[in-house]
Amino acid sequence: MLKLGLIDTGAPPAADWQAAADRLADVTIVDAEAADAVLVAGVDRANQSVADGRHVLLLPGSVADSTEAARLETPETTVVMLAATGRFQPSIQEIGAVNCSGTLGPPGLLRIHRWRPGGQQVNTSDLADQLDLANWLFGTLPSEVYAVRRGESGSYIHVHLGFPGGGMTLIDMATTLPDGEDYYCLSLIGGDGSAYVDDHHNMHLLFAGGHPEAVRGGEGVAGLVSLLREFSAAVAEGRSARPGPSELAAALTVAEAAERSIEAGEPLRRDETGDGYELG
Amino acid sequence: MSSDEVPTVFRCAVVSVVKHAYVPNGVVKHPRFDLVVVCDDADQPDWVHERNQLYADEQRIPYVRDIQRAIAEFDVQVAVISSEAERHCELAVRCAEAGLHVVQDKPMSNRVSECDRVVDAVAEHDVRFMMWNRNFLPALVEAKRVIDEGWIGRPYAFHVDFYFAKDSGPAQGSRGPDEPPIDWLERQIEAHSDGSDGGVGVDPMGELKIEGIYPLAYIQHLSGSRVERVYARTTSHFHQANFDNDVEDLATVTLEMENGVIGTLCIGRIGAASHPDIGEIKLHVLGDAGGLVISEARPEVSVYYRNQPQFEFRGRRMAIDLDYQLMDDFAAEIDSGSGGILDAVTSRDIAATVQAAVDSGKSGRVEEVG
Repeated sequence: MLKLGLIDTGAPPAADWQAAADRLADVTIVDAEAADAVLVAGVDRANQSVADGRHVLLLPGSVADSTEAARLETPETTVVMLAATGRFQPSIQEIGAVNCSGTLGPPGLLRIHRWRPGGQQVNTSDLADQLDLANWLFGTLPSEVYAVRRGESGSYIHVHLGFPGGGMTLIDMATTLPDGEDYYCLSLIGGDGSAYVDDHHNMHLLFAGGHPEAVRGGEGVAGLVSLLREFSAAVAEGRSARPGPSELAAALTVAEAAERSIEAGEPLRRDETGDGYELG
Repeated sequence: MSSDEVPTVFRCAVVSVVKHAYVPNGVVKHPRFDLVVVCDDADQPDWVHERNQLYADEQRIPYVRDIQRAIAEFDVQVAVISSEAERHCELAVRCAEAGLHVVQDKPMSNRVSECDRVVDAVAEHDVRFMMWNRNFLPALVEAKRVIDEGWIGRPYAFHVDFYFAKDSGPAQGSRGPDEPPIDWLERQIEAHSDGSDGGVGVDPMGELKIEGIYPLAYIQHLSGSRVERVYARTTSHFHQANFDNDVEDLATVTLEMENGVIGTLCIGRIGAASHPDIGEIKLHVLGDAGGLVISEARPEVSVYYRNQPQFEFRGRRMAIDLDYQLMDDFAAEIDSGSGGILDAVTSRDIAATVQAAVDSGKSGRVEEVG
């Protein structure tokens, strides 16, 4: 039984983590002092937890850049996993499954729209969450990165990626929606087929006068259940879990390349070492 | 021609009709346009004459192997051009010089220099020009209304997915090591039977050139902004004919436009198995006060039945008034002497954007739109 302590919870409230654990026989939520694994934000807390001998679930968005990500301690005896709920959403899991099985043929084009309210700047760590999906689905880092930013507060970013072999990705993230719900759409075009995750497809209609309201059919806590299942399995089997620190560092590296592309107004290419990106 | 000389009904010459005939068929959906003759140059190859003759027979109008004679003898005011892409502009220039208004199938041309000739000829001879387009599809009309009424504030990002779920001959990788590369023109002639011959012509064209004008015209129509810089990724991912002829069947394009507006395009001929209908064609528009997600296919009716052919579309588009509205707009353009949903100058700009995207796909750099 994995005893998980919720030191930080991030966007999903503690009740959702509890609800997810309730659906698993081998995970229970306990006080942090009694935990053998913890959910934390930030590299310092993660490293402290590792030093205390605890396995770590690290909240996405809590690591600012790839340099910070490189400071993550990852001893062989301890599992450090990124709590990237994006990968574990049931709809995204389905996309990942048909991609991984080869059902769609070789991936050719990935498109993601991620729109939210709030108006704040879309920062590197926000972007990294979606870039991780691109890296995961193409199974490698992009070879080219081009990006543009708009909005007075940097509230909109568009990233254009090229992958080895001709694959390509467009990701746009906005925080310019008015107060209310967000919107998500992901499509993957493969050589033999395609798959679409789109809030537009999953809306119910509510009639209460005037134009009907669209009411999204949600996916509940199933994403957190899948995430905890992978985490607990990795702990039980003494193996690493994915996405881990290396996937986080990779996504942040691409996000930083996007920022440099915005400044330069030109695409960046993966450098000869394969670890970074350069202009030209 | 002065306004009081504008005829009530325009007599139209179909000037070459070697592709699917949706353009001339669309023209006559409007009661002010009448097809009176099909014509082409006498020195065209036999397959061109055969298709022209077939269409003339279907319409029960003559086929004349001499364009100038057809224009003179049949008293036409409008040319409807649906030839191979590389002949589009040459024919348009000749018709404009003869004083005809021009309706032209896409693409405008496979060379921007040819588009420039049309722009000049149309201006010099004071005739009207319309590139065939889809801007009056019901979903586009609705999108334009919502944006113009200010529901999403000032729009700043326009994204279009324009996938055609069609095959295009053998799949990539299917050619044996001893087999010759696929000849583009032969493949396009063969494709006429299933309607996938949009790239018919001697010069190979990728999806950006064949279909790009439709989604780019959407973006132009909705934004009113001109494209300044383009970054694109292109590849041949699906079809052997595209691979053998070094033209893309899948592309992504970033458009940096006037006034800080952003546009993006995903375009591809992604194979018939990839979608139950023509393909996922969507628009995502962001404004500073909201967003808009539009399915281009709507409204549609879904139809399923026993023994339904595998590739018959399950979703059937409804209430399409595109042909009539395009030609009504064109008639108004002729009557007034100005305006138009997609005139020569705008079409030329779109062709230049397409060329910049093709160039960017090959260079890996951001390209300025000339």
